[in-house]
Amino acid sequence: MNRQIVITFNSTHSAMAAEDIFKELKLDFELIPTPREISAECGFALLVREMDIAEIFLICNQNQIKYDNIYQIKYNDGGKEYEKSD
Amino acid sequence: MIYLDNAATSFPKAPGVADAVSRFITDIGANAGRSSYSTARQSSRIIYQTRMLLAKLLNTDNSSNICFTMNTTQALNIALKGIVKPGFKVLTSPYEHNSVMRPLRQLESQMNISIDFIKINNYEINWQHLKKQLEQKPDLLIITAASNVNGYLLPYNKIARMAHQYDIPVILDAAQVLGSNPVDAKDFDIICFPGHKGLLGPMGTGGLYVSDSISLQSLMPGGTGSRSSSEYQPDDMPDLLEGGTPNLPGLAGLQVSLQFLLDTGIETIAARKLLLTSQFLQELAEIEGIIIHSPISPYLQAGVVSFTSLSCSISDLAWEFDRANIACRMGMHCAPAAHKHLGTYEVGGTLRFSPGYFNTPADIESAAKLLKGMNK
Repeated sequence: MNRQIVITFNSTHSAMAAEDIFKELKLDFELIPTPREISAECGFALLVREMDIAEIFLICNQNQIKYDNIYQIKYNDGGKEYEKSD
Repeated sequence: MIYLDNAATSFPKAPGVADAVSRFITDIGANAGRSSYSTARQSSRIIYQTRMLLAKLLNTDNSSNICFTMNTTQALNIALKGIVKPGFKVLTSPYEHNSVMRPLRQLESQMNISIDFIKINNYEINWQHLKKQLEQKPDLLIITAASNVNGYLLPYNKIARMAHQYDIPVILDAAQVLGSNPVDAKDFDIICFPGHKGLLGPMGTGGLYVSDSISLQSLMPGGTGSRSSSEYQPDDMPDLLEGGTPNLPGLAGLQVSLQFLLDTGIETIAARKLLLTSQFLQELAEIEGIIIHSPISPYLQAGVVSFTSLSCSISDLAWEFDRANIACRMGMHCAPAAHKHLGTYEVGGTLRFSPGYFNTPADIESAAKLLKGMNK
């Protein structure tokens, strides 16, 4: 349940491009409905498991992935929070 | 039927296109870019992969700057109406289709733009004159890559390079060349193209590539699945120019045809088309009373042959071809400007034959034989 990251995108094309790269890198990820807690902008986002936020930033920047925002999921008291990373 | 009207639309389509269209409607059917359930994901990936194949064909890494439209006409309207401002000076060629001329004439009356034409005599650009025209700093150059009337292949790369020396943006109408002639995104500011002609895909598909140097307005703002909390069209490409649900069955077909083109190689496709075009031109040259209105040299040809006859009207010829179940096109070909330039406007146009990759020398032979019989 730890180290889960959600990435939002400016367009479907960017999300699909990211998906292609993540597949190639064999990351553990899935396309999910964008959590309403973080954004009402897009229908879907990418959830990546077992990755550090720094690694995700590096992968996105190295592969010129056009993301909107990157969030770390934090679990507490039975609930969860999405912490935005800059 | 012998189909020789590929300049209008290609037929047959690439193998697998019809199956892909049908499969999308039957088995997938979901909208793209809006949801994350499995078939919606499949739809999103179809659009993404089709865009990536086009990026490969146009030799660009900038795939998000390729936007889908219904056809070339829509792409050209988005391009022209997104760029042109009141009083603009636009330079174009005398070979333009109405998909360029009609938006230009509309902008001429609505925005008081001026339209000037490159001088071309006997398929030779007057480069000296073009240099003078460019020195007058037109705001925009828009040219067709090849004439849909007679196949004349304009030196579009050289013209664009020259315009760029004067910092003039260039829009290329690639309707008659994409899929058989190389078009590199780096050489143009905007490229407009159909999916249903040389790309061998379904009707209702087309698009435009827009370089980063150009910023366009959306002519049709609407839902994109992105930035959905805003009532304003997103600035991000490709969504900026893709409001509303796209022709997903068509794009599923286009994906298959693009893969076929890339696997086959556009050089192979061009070679087949030019072989058949040369064969037909040779046959025509042997028939007394036939006047050819197309360039003969294969270096100047994109695979379209136009002619008239001294002994028959083109409508009588077209009728005979209809009866023989040979598909060709008679008339103005939606390009009155080109016919005026060629001197065929007053006689009502020409008879046009445009072979495609799937035609054979026997098809050409049948058409030529019928023509020989009518012109005895």
